[in-house]
Amino acid sequence: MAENTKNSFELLKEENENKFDNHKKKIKENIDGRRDIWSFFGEIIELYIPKIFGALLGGAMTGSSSDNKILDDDK
Amino acid sequence: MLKFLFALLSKSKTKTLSDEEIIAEYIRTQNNYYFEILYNRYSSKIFGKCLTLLKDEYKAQDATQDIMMKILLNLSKFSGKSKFSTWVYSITYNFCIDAIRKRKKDKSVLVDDISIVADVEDEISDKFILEVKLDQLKVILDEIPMADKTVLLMKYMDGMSIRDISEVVGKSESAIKMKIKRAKEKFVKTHDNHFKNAV
Repeated sequence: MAENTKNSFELLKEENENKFDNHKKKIKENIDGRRDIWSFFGEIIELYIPKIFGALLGGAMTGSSSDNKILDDDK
Repeated sequence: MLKFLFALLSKSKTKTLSDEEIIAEYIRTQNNYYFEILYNRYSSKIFGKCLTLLKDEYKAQDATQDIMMKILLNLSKFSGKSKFSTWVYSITYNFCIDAIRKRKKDKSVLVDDISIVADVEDEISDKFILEVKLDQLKVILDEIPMADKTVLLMKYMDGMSIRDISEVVGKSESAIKMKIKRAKEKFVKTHDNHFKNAV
């Protein structure tokens, strides 16, 4: 009964949205995969950028980053 | 046990949250669970729109993935000035139009012919447009130019207001009224060419 009250634009919308079910799994998998890659790179940047900056700044202050490493090891 | 019940309760509560509240939670917590809710609410709608515009299920599939990623990466830029759904449709329509543009190498896919604007008196009733049969609608949408198809879909399929359409397209409201008027004229003309004498 409700079908009869829908206009053709609504029916076309429904028809196309229903086709989503055939692609749902694939789309979700691909989005999750891409999201994982993004968060992986995000974590790498989060982990190493401060270290690189630290090393560069430390290097600039004391001469080289390897000097810092030796000093750290001594502690 | 209490922890489990609390998690269950908060999960059922989030399902009733508005889009804007979910975005705020996602930005605050960066918890993927909130993005999943938005994904479940919008992915089929985005896919349906992509399919209507791109006319190919696999292209629509790729486009849906790209659009969802675009939404995810730009969630923090959503200002809340318009409804979230309008923002999503804006990304979707613009993405599909860009894809068609690249395919056709046509720079005039969307609303280029609406710079001259007069005060618009719409003569074709919405009733006529809405009463066209589904199989006829498919033929007409296949034939009319992309720019006309797009504004008609925004108006009749998505029920967007003139203001929302003007935001998505980036043109003034009076320009959009003119565009819709012209699109309706082309719609009726195409309809008459194909179906006027059909029983």
